[in-house]
Order: sequence, then structure tokens, then C-alpha cells
Amino acid sequence: MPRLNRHQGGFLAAAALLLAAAFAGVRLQTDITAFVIAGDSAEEILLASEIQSGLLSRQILLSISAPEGETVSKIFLTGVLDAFKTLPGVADVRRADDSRHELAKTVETLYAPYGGYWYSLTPERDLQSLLRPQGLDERAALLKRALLSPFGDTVKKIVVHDPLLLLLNAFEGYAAANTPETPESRPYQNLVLTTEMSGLDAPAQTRIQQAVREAFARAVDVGGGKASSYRLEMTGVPIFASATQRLVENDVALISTLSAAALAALFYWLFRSFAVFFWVSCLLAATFALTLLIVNWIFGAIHGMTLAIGSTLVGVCVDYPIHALIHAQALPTEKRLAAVRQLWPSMALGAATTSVGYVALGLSGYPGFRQVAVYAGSGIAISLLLTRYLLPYLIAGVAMPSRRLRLPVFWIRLCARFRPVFLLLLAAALGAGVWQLTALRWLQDLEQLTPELNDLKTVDRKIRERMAPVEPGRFILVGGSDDEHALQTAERIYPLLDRLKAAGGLAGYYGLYPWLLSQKQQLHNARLLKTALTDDVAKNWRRALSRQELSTARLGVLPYGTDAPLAAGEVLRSSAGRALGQQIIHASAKTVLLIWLGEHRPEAVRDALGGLPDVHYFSQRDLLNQLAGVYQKRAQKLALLGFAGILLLLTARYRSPLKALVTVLPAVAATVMVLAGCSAAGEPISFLHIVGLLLVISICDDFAIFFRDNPGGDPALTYQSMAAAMLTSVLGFGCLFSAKAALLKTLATVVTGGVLLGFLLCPILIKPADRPHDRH
Amino acid sequence: MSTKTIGGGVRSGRGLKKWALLLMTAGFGCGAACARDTPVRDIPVRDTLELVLGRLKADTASAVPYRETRRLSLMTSSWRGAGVFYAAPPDVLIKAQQAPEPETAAAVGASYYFLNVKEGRRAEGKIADQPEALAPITVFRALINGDSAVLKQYYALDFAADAKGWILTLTAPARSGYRVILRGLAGRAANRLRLVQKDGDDDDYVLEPAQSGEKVQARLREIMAAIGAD
Repeated sequence: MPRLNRHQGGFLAAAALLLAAAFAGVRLQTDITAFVIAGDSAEEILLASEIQSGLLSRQILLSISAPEGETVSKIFLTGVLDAFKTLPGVADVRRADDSRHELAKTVETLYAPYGGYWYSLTPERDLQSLLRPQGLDERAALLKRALLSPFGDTVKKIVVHDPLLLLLNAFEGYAAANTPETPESRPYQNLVLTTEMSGLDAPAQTRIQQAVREAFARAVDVGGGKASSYRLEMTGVPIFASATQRLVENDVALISTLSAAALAALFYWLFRSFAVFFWVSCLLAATFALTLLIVNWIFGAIHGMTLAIGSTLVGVCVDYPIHALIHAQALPTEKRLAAVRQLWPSMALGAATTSVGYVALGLSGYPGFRQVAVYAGSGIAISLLLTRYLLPYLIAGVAMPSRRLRLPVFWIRLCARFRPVFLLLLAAALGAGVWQLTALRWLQDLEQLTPELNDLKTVDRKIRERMAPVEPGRFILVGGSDDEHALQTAERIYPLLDRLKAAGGLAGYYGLYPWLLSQKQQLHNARLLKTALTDDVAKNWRRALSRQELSTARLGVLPYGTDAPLAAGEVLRSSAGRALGQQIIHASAKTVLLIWLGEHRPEAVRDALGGLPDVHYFSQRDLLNQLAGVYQKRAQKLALLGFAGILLLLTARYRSPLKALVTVLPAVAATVMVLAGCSAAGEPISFLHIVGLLLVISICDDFAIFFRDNPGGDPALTYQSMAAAMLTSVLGFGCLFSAKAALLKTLATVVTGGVLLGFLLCPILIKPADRPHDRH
Repeated sequence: MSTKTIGGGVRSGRGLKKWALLLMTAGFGCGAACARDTPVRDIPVRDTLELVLGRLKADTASAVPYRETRRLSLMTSSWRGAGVFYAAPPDVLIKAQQAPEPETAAAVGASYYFLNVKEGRRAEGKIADQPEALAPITVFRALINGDSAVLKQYYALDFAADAKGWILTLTAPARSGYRVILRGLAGRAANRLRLVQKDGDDDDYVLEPAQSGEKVQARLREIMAAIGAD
């Protein structure tokens, strides 16, 4: 083993410590929503937090299907339910329609005395209809039918408080909407499984999902026969969290291995030395360990996507050591430090222009990109400083036989000779490219970014459609300082939705009524009822009872308004609370209610709601796409600002706006051509393309700065160092083609294409005369 | 064979035979009609609980037509209906009301079902969620399975029989406080069923002889399909 100098030994010890600290201290997040979701309103922020950690996030929706025309055996279902209940990490599991039965029980035990408070949202209209003679006759007939039904005992308990069965007036609409039309023919049964841990705790959720699948398989084995044709499907936040984690982990593992092997081979080919590869790898490892710790310290965790996108920065960070190594390659150890020092101004300028691009990205609004910006900014700075101040000591004594790359030398000579021709060809290509840009379109639907999860999305839609006829991810958010105020606001919305339903703009909705009603509305109902119960009404009621052969002595007295109204807290503490828990979010000094919507036209709902304060129509998908639109516009503005910043920096460096402009031309031309290529291929542009193009600009700017500055004084050597840097980027990003995630493939296409073009365009666009140390 | 007497003594088997013979002789007059239908050699000795339960046990799907009279304190006159009870061991019980309008109530496994096609009313749920309303189901399930142990676990049983017939009264604990009263002619299955609520409301059924066979089974399957039971 070679003897280490004190720099090498100290660095290795520090790098090991940093890696250990990063390994032990960094918390990895894998939830994609945490990366891209942010809300502008308090309700949206609250909802985003609920989606990430609340009850909604902890529920897995399961659907057990039998072949078409058959049904799932109830014995099998009971067995499966019992098996799921015993699994570790499962807090609760029940049939999806159980809450309806629980709520029905609650009507008898909780609501029975409150019929006079609870009967209507439109008491003026309903009382008029209920208390006219014909209405009373209908009521008496209903009472008789109810008494004679199998649930007569329950009805007898209710009529003590509510002979007119006013409570049924409140609940009959709900019952009608929730009674399945043909339960006997449906070939599936739905279950709701609630886990103890957060839905975004992907490792724990993956274990539970595996245990659920195994328990189901065991039940199928035991059931045999008909059961062997049953299928289990699952959806919910935990399912997507696990799938995303698997995707990210598999891709990260594959790409890391591939790119490490490819870069090792490239380094050996370039420098004929594994020692060089070892020291540069250590330098980059230390850079990223420190960067991870910085991001984790600032944000409390690092997202898997930040890691994936941030890791592509290896392509930028590795350029500094490569430039240094190529320029130091043929020099004796004692001269290497001076050579690297000579490169410093160009490297620093390149790093500054790259950082400007990433700061602009961080300001674009994507929560995850703030992380990426910090990750990139700190990574670039650390890598640059380590290259400048440490690398020369690390490679001290390491032999690096010089290797001339013939193709780059041939290319710059060819460009120098035929520059006018190349310029003409380039102008034509750029003209065609700019024309092609007119057909460029932006991605409108963020779901298209993750086609690898399409199967899960299909299952998700299928199961949710089976659960309830509501549109998943679309609802109305109603805010209030407390339950009472939120309920009052919601009760102003129900009539608007009823009108919209009548007009055909909405198939149905699921509000909080009849389970929750504001105290204000309850008191209003009771007051109106008391006024409406005149002697004439009492007389008509007794007559109606007599017609149905019902006892006027027992049912003729109308005992309404004797209790206090029912408090929302009492309902939420009852068994109804569990079912309602999915529609109420409590936060400090804030209550948010969710009104689920059936099939609807979003613009019709928005119009119906008008500008009611504290009321928002929320569409998860629309919100994401809307946010994407906003981010894209911001990103375009910020990209321009970033570009202006880069130009300013270069102008300050070269003291000439023209030179600055020419320096960025290769990057700009490469960007235009990549975008034109996407446009020609019909590929819509997403934020991922922007990330990729930002990388292209950063890397190509560095190329152009090096090519212009020619800090080593040997253009062939400079272009060779650029070629080596280009090869590392193309190899590193090329490995992303092996990923399953479409996002990473997009990045690979954009960056490999852009970097290669930028590299090739430098000798065409930057005139030899512009180079201060040109010796050709 | 022995039986307890009010005086607490025990008669011998030979003594009982003498006593039964006297009783049968005394009953010849009033029991003439019955005697014509039943050969003298088939007239059983006095019914016991075990004999009656054995007779009530259904080995296969059976149907019992009924006429119902319900008396509720909240109603000023009795309500009358008619229909057919269906039972299939171990746990299928169906009341298919035909008059005054078709309505089906059923207990299958752990679930109950209710269907009134005319009014478009349908309900389905767990029996455990309606323990009081659906408590008689336990009684009837135990009866069709001939399970006296379950009956004795949940109800106080009072059985009496004489030469004319028998009467079985099942009284639930005071909390629910309802009674189920079954009557039948001597040597026959039940022909009367009465459910008496704690508040005095009662439901009285006159039962016709049970039917079984392929037709009954087919009808049972039709009803179960209509209500959505397995």
C-alpha cells in the first residue's frame, strides 16, 4: 500500500467522517407530493399536510374482485378481514360500506331527540310541505309503515321524541343516495385498511402491503374453489409511496453502479491511473456528503428526487477536477499546484455562472427545487474549492501519463479552417430550430410525467369509482375559525350545489349534513317549527293518525323543542365521528370541511360558488397542473433573469457585452437545438426539460469560458480537458437512459444532446482571436 | 321412565302407563276427529321438549305459510298480513310477506336484508348492529337447528304439554324482555307463533304445515338472489 502524505491522510479521515455523518444523520423522503406540492391558501397548505401525514394518508383502499357475474363470498370476506386485523402495523380494517351501518345506528342512539332541530336545511319550504293536511297524512302513513317494518322497535324509540319522524326528513336524502342499487350483482367488495404509521413511511408501508398480500394468498389457499379466482387490488397514498420508493431506489442503485463503472473506465482511459479515479471519487464523495448534510440541516430531510436530480451535478462538479487533472497531467508534481491556480479564474467564473442558473431554478416555486438549488449551489462551491486547494496535494506523486485525444484536436482544426461554412450551416440549423420552436408546447398534465405509475393510477381510479360515485381528488374546501363557522359557511353552499345539480352541472355531492348541522341552523329550525305547530296542525295530525289507525293518545302530542341543540363535538365523539373524520380537518384555530363532489364540470362548480369567502373549489390534479403552469411561467422569467445574470457576470469578467454574448452562444445554440428537437418529436416541455437545459447551459458555459480563456495557454490541451469533461457528462447522464423513471430518461436525452452540441459548437462560435492566450 | 309430580314423589313407569291410559280413554270423545286421521298405534305419549325440538328441526329447506296479526299499543286496531316463512339450516331465515304487499326480510349468515320492491326500499347490514330488533333470529336459528343448548343459554325455557298439544315459552333476559311462544297440537309441529315485546306489543302467527322439496328450494334461491344474499 502506498504511503499517504498528510493531506491525503487527513482528507481520507475527514471524508470518512463526513460520509458516516451523512449516512447516519440524513433523512430521506420519497413522497413525490412533498417535492412538488405547495399551497397558496391556508386551506391548501392544511390539506397538503393532511395528505402527507393525516388519516387520509394512512388509509389503504383494498378491492377484492370475483370474476364477472360472480360475487365475493361473505365467508371469505369475513376470514380475510379477521386475518388483516391481526397484521402488525394495521390499526383498523373494515368494509368500505360499514360506516353507513354505523351511522344508521347513530341515528337511533344520538340524533333521535333532535328531530325538531335537525329536520331541514330549508325549513321554510319543508315545513310548508310537511305540515299541510296532505303532508301530515303522508307522515302518518310513513309512521305506520316504519312501525310495522323489521325496525319497528327502533322507530318506537324515535317517536317518543319525534312523532312526525322529522329526523327521517333529514336522513332520507342521504339514505337514498347511499343505498347501493344492485349490491347483489357487484363482483367486488371494498375494504378500508388504516395503518398505524404515516402513509409516507414507505419502508413500513411496503412491509404492511407485503403482509396483506400474503394474508390474502393464505385466505385464497384456505378458501380454495371459487376463492382461487379472487383478485386483490390496492390503492391509496401508501401504495404510491411504496411504488415511488421502489422506483427511486432501483433507479438510484442501477444508475450509481453504471455511472461509477463508466466513469472509472473513462478515468483509466484518460489518465491510465486508478489512483486518479480514486482521489477524484473521494473528492466527489466528500463534496456530496457535505452537501447532503447542509441540505438536511436546512430542510430537515432530503428528498429522493433532490438526490436524483442533484446527483446529476456530478457532471458539473467533476469538470473542475478534470480540467485541473488534464492541465496538470504532463507536469511534474511541484508545478501542478501552479497549473491549477492558473485555471482558478476560469473555474470560478464557470462555477459562478452555473450557480446563478440554479439559484434561478430554486426561485421557480417548486418546493423540491429549493432543495435542488441549495444542493447544487453548495455542491459546486465545495467541489470547486476542494479542486483548487486540495486536489493538487491529493495527486502529488501520482503518475499520469499524458494522452492526446486526437478527435478534439482534429475538430478544432477543422472548425478553424472551415469556420464560415460551419457558421452558415449552423445559422441555417438555428433558423430551422427557431422556426420549429413555434410549435413547442408545454406539458399541461403533470400526471404524464410519471407514466411508469400509470398501472397504479388506473387501479386507483377503478377502486375509487367502486367506493363512492365521487370524483377523486376534487372537492370543495370550506374554512372557518371553528366548527360552527365552517358549518355555517357550508350550509350556505348546499343550496348552491342543489341548484347546480338541478341544472345538470353536478351529479351529486356529499356534504356534512345530515350528520352535522350548525347550532345557528338548528335553532332557526326549532324556532320555525314551534311557530308552525298551530292548533290546526295538531288537529290535522290527530286526524291523520286516526286514518292510519294509529293512537292519537300516544302520538297526538308533538313534544318538540324541549332539549338544547346537538353540539358538533358530541357528534364527532360518537361513532359517526370516524366516518366524518375524512371530511373534517382540525388545525390550531382553523376548521376545514371537505364537500365531496360527484361527476361535475369544474367551471360550473367554480361559477356556482362565486366568490364566497373561505370557500375554495379544490382539484388536486387541476391544482398541480395550475401550479405547474405558474411554475413554468416563473421558470421562464427566472431563466431569462438567470441568463441576464450570467451575461452580467461574463460582461464584468470580459469587460465587453459582445464577448459575454459570444461566450454564451454555444450554450444558447445547443439549448435552441435541443428544444427544437423536442418540438419536432412532439414531446411536450416540462420542468424536467428546464432542469436539463439549465445543466446544459451550466456545463456549456464552463466549456465556453475555458475555451475563450484558454487558461493553460494551449488550446488543444484546453479542448482536450473540455472533451474529457464532455465525455464524463455524456457518460454520466447517458446512464440515466437505463432508469425506469421517465423523468430521468427525459433528463438524459436533454443533457447528453445539449452537452455534446455545446462542446462541438464552441470552436465554431468562439473566434480564435477572442482567446487571450491563443497560440495557434 | 319417570316424571316429577307436584307432590314431589316419583311414580313408577308402570304407574304412568295406567295414568296415560286413563287420560287417553277420557280424551277419546273430544279427540275423535284427530283419531280418525291418526291410527291408534301412532298416537304418541305426551310431548317433551326434546320431541318438540326434534320436530321443529329442519333437515332441509322448508317453507311454512303463515297468517300474521300484529297488535301494537301505538295502533288502535290490529294489523293483518300473510306470507311464507322459509328456513334452510344452518342460518337462513326468510320472512316473505305477500299481503298486504310483498316485502322480504331475511337473515343469512351474519347479515340481514330487507326489500320492499313496491316502495323501492332496500336495506342490508350486520345483525350484530341491530341486536334488539333482530334478537328473535337467534331463537329461530336454534329452533331450525334443534339446538336446545343455545336456546337454554340465552332464554328461560318453559315447556308444557298435555294430550291436546304443547306450548313452549322462551323468555329473554329482562333487559330485552320479550317472549317467544310456540304452540302445537300433540305430536305435531308448531301451528302458532307469538312474539311478545317488553311493552306488551305482540305479533301473532298462525302457521300452516311445513312444505319442502325442489319447488321450495328453487323459490328460496330466487328470493336470496333478489335480496342480494349469497
